Amino acid sequence: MSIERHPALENLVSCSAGSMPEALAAVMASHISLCKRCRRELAIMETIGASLIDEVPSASLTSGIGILKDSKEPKALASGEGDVPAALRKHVGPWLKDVPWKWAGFGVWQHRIPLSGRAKASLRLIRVSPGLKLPDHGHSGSEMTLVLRGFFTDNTGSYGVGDVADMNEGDEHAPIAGLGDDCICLVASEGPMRFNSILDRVLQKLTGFD
Amino acid sequence: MSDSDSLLQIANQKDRLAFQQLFQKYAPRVKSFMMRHGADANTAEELAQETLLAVWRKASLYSSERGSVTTWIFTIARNLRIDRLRKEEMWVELPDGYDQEASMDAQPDEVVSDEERRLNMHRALNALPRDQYQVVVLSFIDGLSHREIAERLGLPVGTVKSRIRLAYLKLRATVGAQDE
Repeated sequence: MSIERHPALENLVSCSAGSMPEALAAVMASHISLCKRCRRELAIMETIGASLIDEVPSASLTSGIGILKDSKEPKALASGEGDVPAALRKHVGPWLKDVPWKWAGFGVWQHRIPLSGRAKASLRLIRVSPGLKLPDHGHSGSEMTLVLRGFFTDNTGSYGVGDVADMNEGDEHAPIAGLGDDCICLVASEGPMRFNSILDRVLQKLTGFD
Repeated sequence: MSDSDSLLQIANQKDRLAFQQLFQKYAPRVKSFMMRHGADANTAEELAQETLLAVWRKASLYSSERGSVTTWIFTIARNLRIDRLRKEEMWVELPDGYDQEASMDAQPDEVVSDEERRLNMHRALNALPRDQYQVVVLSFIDGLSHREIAERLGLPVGTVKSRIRLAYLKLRATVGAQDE
């Protein structure tokens, strides 16, 4: 199965510059580990960073070369068996089936992934039963969703494993999980969802699904 | 000796002279890169030392097929910067963990040397309209997110995003990459 939906180029640029906010960067890193095309883009973008560093005026050093230790070989990224993208494994382990899901209301289970204290966004895995429709909602900041299992559709199309839905502030959608498997996604949101119906907003308060 | 020859010497023979050459060329630039991100002079120097120490340790992992030495050193410095200066979780750990095909493979006209590619990129960067050049620098060198750039320049986030996208498309065209 090939990946058809990629993050916006300007977001990849931000990622290669190392200037993407943490939660969104986590989704990007997970997508990049699955997507050859985006890895190729990223390699080009890194040459831009390198050229710009060339243009920065040099700072003078106050000391010489430090002690060169012949220390251990650098460690490789997590590899081996598992259906969780490498970037996430140290937080959620290698298998989606072992994630400690919590009920979140609306037929949704979620698992929050801790971020550093400075992060202003949230990062979580969500699991939605096949065919379930999430309430119509908008976003108060950027939201990026990577499909890890199953698929979902909304007014912008269909998203399968490896695809990224890259939503900007103000975009609205009502995703429906595809039939077959549960749909499991990694979601980074800069602000809470804004449900369009009053009933959904009341439920949102009760369940804490934001 | 070219930079990639120096790296090869380091990888094969732990050649300290070759390392010194790389150190003198890159450490001052990495230091000033770190200072642009708000590191004080001491911290910036420490991070520059650490970046070059990683070059020493990881020299055997470098492959010229994956891009120029400068690009490789940039990625090491960038990762250290995210890790230390922003105190954020390190998500994008690209240089060592990713497989070889991440490089700009499928480039039959490999006659374009590293040096030429570097010059082309410099020219293309300097040919960008000022407003596009500005957002690219704020992103890569100052490490600002789209939102932070928008706040600094008093622009809507959407404008920042489209300027970055336009700038990238122009820069990408100069390295000969095609849309798929």
